[in-house]
This record gives sequence, structure tokens and C-alpha cells, in this order.
Amino acid sequence: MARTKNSTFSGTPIRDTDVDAPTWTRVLREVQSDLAMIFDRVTGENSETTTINHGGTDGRGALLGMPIVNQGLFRNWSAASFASGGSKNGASGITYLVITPILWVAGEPTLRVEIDLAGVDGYSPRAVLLSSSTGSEVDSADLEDVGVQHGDVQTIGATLSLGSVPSSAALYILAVEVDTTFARVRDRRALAWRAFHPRGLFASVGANAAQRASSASAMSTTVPTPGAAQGLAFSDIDAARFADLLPVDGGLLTKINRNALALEEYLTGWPAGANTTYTHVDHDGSGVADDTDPARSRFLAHTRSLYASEPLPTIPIIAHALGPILADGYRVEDGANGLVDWYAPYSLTTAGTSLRNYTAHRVYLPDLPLSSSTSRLKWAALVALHPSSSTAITTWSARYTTASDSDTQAFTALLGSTQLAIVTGGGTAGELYGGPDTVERHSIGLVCSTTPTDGDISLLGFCLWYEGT
Amino acid sequence: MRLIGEWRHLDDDAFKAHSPALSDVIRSLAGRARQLYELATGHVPDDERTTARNPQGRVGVDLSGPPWGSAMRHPIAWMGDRDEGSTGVQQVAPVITLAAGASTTIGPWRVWNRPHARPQGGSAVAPYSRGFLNVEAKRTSGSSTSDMIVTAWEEGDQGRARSEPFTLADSSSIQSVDVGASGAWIPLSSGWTTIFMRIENNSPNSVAICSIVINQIAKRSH
Repeated sequence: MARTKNSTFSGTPIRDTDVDAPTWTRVLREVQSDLAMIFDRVTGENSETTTINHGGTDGRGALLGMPIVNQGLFRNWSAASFASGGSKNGASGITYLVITPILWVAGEPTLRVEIDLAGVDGYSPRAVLLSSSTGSEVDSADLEDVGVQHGDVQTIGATLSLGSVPSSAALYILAVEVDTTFARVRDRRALAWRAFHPRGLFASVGANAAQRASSASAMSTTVPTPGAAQGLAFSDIDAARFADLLPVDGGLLTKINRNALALEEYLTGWPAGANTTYTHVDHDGSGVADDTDPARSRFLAHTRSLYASEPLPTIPIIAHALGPILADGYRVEDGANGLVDWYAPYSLTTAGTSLRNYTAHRVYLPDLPLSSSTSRLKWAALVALHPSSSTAITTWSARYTTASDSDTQAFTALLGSTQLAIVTGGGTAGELYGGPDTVERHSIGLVCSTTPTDGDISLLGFCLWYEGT
Repeated sequence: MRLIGEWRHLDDDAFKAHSPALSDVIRSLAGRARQLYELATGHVPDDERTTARNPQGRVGVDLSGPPWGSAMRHPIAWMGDRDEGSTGVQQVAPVITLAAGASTTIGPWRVWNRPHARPQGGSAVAPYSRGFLNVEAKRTSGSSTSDMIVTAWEEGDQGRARSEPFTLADSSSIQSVDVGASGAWIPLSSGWTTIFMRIENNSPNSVAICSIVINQIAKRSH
């Protein structure tokens, strides 16, 4: 069969749909060809390469706008003289209150950063974006009052920019920086911080199942039921069927109509046409019905459960900062004056070369492909090596642990002239991912190949993302 | 606008043999094809958009929940700094510690939730309109089980979600509790949303809360 399909969208001129316009078979051919192209782009079938991966290129799907950071802090911070007491503490100065690696996705030129702080006046708060390869500053902006206040805690924000629209996702280091040079001991609250690609909010109204049922009409709009191996029941049509002078019969029109209805339900996630209930369910009909089963997804969800070449987006999942540190790598923990209840955790001698676990979260992962050859969970960890550390950065490794797996990666070098080091891991087929539709415990830790001294290294933050093809 | 783009459905009978060959038939097929193209690709093929803007104010399905696609499931917000299994590390104390019989309120916690479509009126059923709690906690003293209750609400008190009591069995390890699984969820707005939580320790033991994650878990509806 010479399957009719367009490589680019053709569309139908309005004049060809007017009353009294001739019914050309070419018009129907172009409609079916456009529908076939849409099917290929969302499923990856028929060797389609311009697939819907939400990657920012025009025509490859809407950007997803996933939040990058949504972290509660609920800590006290103070601009104290950190040098008094405690080993490896530093003098006051440029201090990263929060700092973490983040994944900046393709197609997004700007990032909005906000933090809720009390008592920040006089400390020149800035949002800073650093290169993950050199540690140098990519962009920075003063954090300004956005007009939201809770008690003495004000929300301050700024927008960072890459200067151009990135064509691929990349790792960066994001920080909120204050200048604690004018030191005074005064505990103030830090409530939360956020980072997200800015959007305008557009009110969009859907309908729940009860509202759909109440709006039922007498019109019949039949969505064909997908087979066991289909995400949607889409019928190809031979181009010869649209030859000039051939009759246009009801079978042809019905097939095209049902293709459109199948795509509608698959794309929108909503019953198609005038239907009040779904035809598509995430289930193949055998065993217990489970509408949420990601293993049989019959909606656009990028699971590759039914289409082996289905496009996969790149999705940031979590980015978490572990506490403040001075920009020169000195610590801010100080029993007398420093940030006694909030500082980047640091290594101790006690455990020698044992794993040091730092934090853990229970996260619900996106419905990732089940095939072990395509799971691509990736992570990154950021540390600061103390300038007078007894251990070299190359003796340290970061370990990311999930309920089902772990991955250890060694640090190789400091970033440029900074005391920062970053390492990435994951990306191996089947690694770290225990399966869909489940909550997993994820934790980050450090290991040293030689016994350190107290405060040699501080873990600053980590992030997790899913990297599509 | 040069190319037809309409969201007009017709009854199945309109496409059958012996039905009148009305222009509506072509108009419906061609118009919907154009709209499906915009929804799938986010691209406008001529000079005028024919589909509605998605909740982010842009074009195309963004997987934020119907009618903008099956929603993705992932963490929305998170907090917590300590893995109670740590050794050889100097860490700050857990964010929340509760003495026996004590309670605490956390918030305001300002969060950026993904913009999403919501039904007009009625309770929150759309994906992203509810956040489900997953908590890591540990009994730090005492010997009996620890009964905890978490209550969460959105600023403005649009409805409080209160969990059933959950227990921490022992002090030898982290206890992970999916509080939301029992039916408790936080109502979340589209875009900025401010959350409060109250955690009650109704036990004779001291408790440390190590991590709280708010997850989005619905694909098409709650």
C-alpha cells in the first residue's frame, strides 16, 4: 500500500470548504495525509524524525514548563561573623544561601528565581547562574521585592537569561547569593525558594466527568477501539484511493473521521467529540482494568509502552539545595554566631571511608519507558572542597541511591578557579528506575577513598532529571 | 487565515453512504485536522491561531491535564535536609522536630505549580489541583508507636485536607509514609500557590520529620 502521508502540514484552503465548492478528492487526500503525519509525529511510527518531544523547536510540541526548584527551607539564617569558633569556618563575605545544580531545558531562554527571606535588606541579594564546566558566572541579577509579604518575610525575585534560546538541555549551577560582609548576629527566617521558566497564567477551563455527562447530546461520535498493541486505532489509506474521478464513498469519509476522533482522544486526554466517556483506557482488556496503568498508555504520555520509537522529552524532576556556604569554599557553621541551624553538611573523620548519606526524598517519577534500554534517569551533585582540605577532590565520589539501584561517580576536578566540583551520573539503560506508578526513596551521599579530616568537603545540592532522546 | 481550522464535530451518520454531500462534511474533517495539528505540534501553520491557548498561554498540548493532554506525574514541591541513616557527616537538625504530644504549623510555603485547566465550579478534580504528601519520619525517643496526623490547606482556607493517623513503628529506621494515599491531599492553585501544613504528634514519643514531598499523581482526573 502506498500510504498517503504529508511530510509537512498542508491544510485545506477555506475556499475548498465553502458551500457550493466542488468536492475534490485531493482535499480529502490532504486531510488524511495531514492526519497520518500527526499520527507519525506523536508516535514515532513509520521512521518519522520530526517527532513531538517538547524540545523547544517550532513544530515539535509545546514547551512543558516544568518547575525547576520548589523547595521549602524553613530555616534561620544570619549574617554573622562566621570565623569565630569552629574549624574551617570563614570570614563573612559573599555567601551562597542556596546553591544547587539544575537542568536548563531546551527552548527556554529565561529562568525566574524567587526566595522568601526576612531581614535581607543591606545584603545585596542576587540570583546567580554559574557554568557547570568552568564555575564562571553566566548571568546574575539583583533580587528585588515582588510585593508579596508574610509577616517580616518578603518575596524577592529576579529573572536570569542565557541571552539566546538554547537548542539543547544543559546543566548549570543556580545560587542565591548574599553579601554578609556587614556582619551582624540576627536570626531571620528563610521560608522557601523557587525557580521556574516564566509564563503568563492563562485561565483555561476544562470539565469534569459529571459535567461532561450532563452535557450529553444525541450526536454519535464513535472513536475506534484500539487493539492490544495500539495506542490509538489509526487507519492508513492508500493514496490510490484518492485518485481523480474515483467516487467518494461513506466508507472513506467514515475512516477519515474516525482517525481524527482517535487522534483527538489520544492527544487531549479527554473523551472525543460528543462522547461523555472514554474509549481509550490505559489497559489492554485482559486482567483487572486499570485506567492508570502506564504500561499500556493509550494517551500521549511518552511512555514507549506501545510505540517503540515514541519521542521522549527531557524532564527536570527535582533540584535541592542543602544549605549555605561561603563562595570561597569556607564553611559558615559556627557554634557561637554562625548559621547554627542551617549550613551545607560537611564530612567528618568518624566514618573514615564509609558512605555519608545526606538527605532523602520520596518522589513519584514520571511514567518512564518500561524498556530497560531506554530509561534515562540522570543526576548531578555539587560539592565545595575546603581550601585547606586534607583530601583531594579526586578522592571523593558521589553516590545516588534509589529504592532499586545506586550509582557512584568520582569527582575529577574543581571548576575553574573556584572550590566547587560537580559530577553527573545515571543515563545507563535501566539504571536507578524501579518502575512506573510508584513512589521511590532517593538519597544522595559522598564516599572518600581515604580518611578525611573534619570539614574537608561540603555537599551543596543535587538534582535529578529524565533525559529523553 | 488561509487554512480552515474549526472544532466542529458531526454525527457519524453524516459520513455514511447516501448521506447528503454537504460542505459541512469537508469543513468538519479539514477543520479538525488543522486543530489537531496545532495541538500536537504547537505550531501555527498560517497567520492566525485556531486553537485556544494552553494554560501556559501558549499553543499546543503541554501534558498538564485534559483537555491539554494526559498529565505527567512527578514531585511538585519538596523539603527536608536529613537522612537519619547518616554517619560520618555533620548535618543540621531535621527541619521539624516534635516533642511528645506537640504540634507545629509549617508555612507559608509559596510554590509554583504548573498552570493547568480546571473545571468550572465544584471540587478540585483536575490533575495538578491536588498535591499528595509523602513523608519520611523517625521516632527519636520513646518506645511505642507514634501516631501522627498531617493537615494541609491552601492559603485562604479553601478546604482543609486532613490525613488519617499514620504511625511510626519503631526508632531503628526511617519510616516512609505516603500520607496522601489515605485520602489526604493539599488543594493547589494554578501557578503560585501558598500552602500551610500542621503536623500533630499524638504520641508519648519524640519525632523528627526528615522529608516532605508533595507529588502530582493523577493523569486525567482525580
